[in-house]
Amino acid sequence: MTIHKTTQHSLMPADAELHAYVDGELDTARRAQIDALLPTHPDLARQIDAIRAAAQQLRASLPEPSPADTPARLDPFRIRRTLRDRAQRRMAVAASLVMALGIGGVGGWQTRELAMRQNYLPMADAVQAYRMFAASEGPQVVDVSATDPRALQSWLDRHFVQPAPLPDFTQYGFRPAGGRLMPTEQGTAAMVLYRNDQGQTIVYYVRPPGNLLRFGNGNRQDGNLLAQYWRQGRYSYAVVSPTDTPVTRTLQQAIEPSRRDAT
Amino acid sequence: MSQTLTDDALREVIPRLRRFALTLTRQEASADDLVQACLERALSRGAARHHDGDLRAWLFTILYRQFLDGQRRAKRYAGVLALFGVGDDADMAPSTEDVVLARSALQAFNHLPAEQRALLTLITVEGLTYQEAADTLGVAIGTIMSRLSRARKAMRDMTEGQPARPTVQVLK
Repeated sequence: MTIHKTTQHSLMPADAELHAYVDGELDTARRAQIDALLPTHPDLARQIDAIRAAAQQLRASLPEPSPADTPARLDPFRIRRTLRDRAQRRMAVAASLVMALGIGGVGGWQTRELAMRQNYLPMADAVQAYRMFAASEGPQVVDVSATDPRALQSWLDRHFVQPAPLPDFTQYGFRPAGGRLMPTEQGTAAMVLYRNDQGQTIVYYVRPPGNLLRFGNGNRQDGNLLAQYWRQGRYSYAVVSPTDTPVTRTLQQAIEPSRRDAT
Repeated sequence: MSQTLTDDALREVIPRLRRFALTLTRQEASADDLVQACLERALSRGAARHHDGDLRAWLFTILYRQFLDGQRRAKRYAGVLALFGVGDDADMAPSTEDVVLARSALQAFNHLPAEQRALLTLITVEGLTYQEAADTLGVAIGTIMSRLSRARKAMRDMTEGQPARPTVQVLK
């Protein structure tokens, strides 16, 4: 209230002070000073009366509306309801948006996975590896040409972490002939070629499972080839062997993954 | 933090809100729109913003802010209309005839700028303290004092334009 201080010493009140006087905003000391001035200063009293009269006139011109005239739309109960409805509507819109996105997203994703599963042939790369390398003769198709299972095993151990032991197919007439590494989508894969005395070939195939689609154990006929595959530890394994010869049948029966315990 | 806003407490204040809104908009329909917007704001932000202070002053503050927001929007809109050659509405500016007719305090009052109307309503009609009015209007208390004497002087000037009845009485 700076104005009070500045006029503290001047007796005659400033215009703003007169208003403050009428509005009851003056401190008691200053108010008393002005009250003391009034009897001797009729002009001051007239100014104050004029301010009072004008204020009174304005109050009379702006009567408080009757509560009965309040429109129904301004009733607090109704406004609360309106707000609630609006909030619920917003929630409903938001929920339906979330639903739509959710259905679209989840549905789309599932459809995608379904489509991929339908098109995806488990261990197709193993079969592919057989077709590319096992059919051709000659040592140039392999990285390591070794007939000693232990040499091949240590070669596998260098490239994989704790791979399963190399299968022994000697009782079916197949002996290891060499190994080869190849890149796949899921990571480095290794194939080991086995041959028998007739020059027939089977392929043992190891690779990381990949993280897109997981499949367990099973077998799949692809042309004249049978791919038998299973998961064990960190890797997926497959044996690809021809089906158009009786010599592999006992072998296939022996390693049939559906007879293995799921790991 | 706050007492809950009961419907009854609000109902009690609504007539005063309507009067304040009417002095701002000077049209009943838009005044009630303003009150509705004010109540919606008050109830949606809810009790969280309602501090222990005077319910009436709190609602006045909300209402005045809504009014200023609306004015700003209207000004922008008027600017857009002016671009298309539509004149701004002249009915709010006092014509010569209006000023001559400003016999009553209310007519004089209605020719004041909105901020002065708000100020006079809050202090003279509603009896708010200068501090409460300053808080409601968002200005310093010194501004309240200077504006108040300016507003009352402007009203006096307008109403003194009418035939001087007191003089006649003195002569009699």
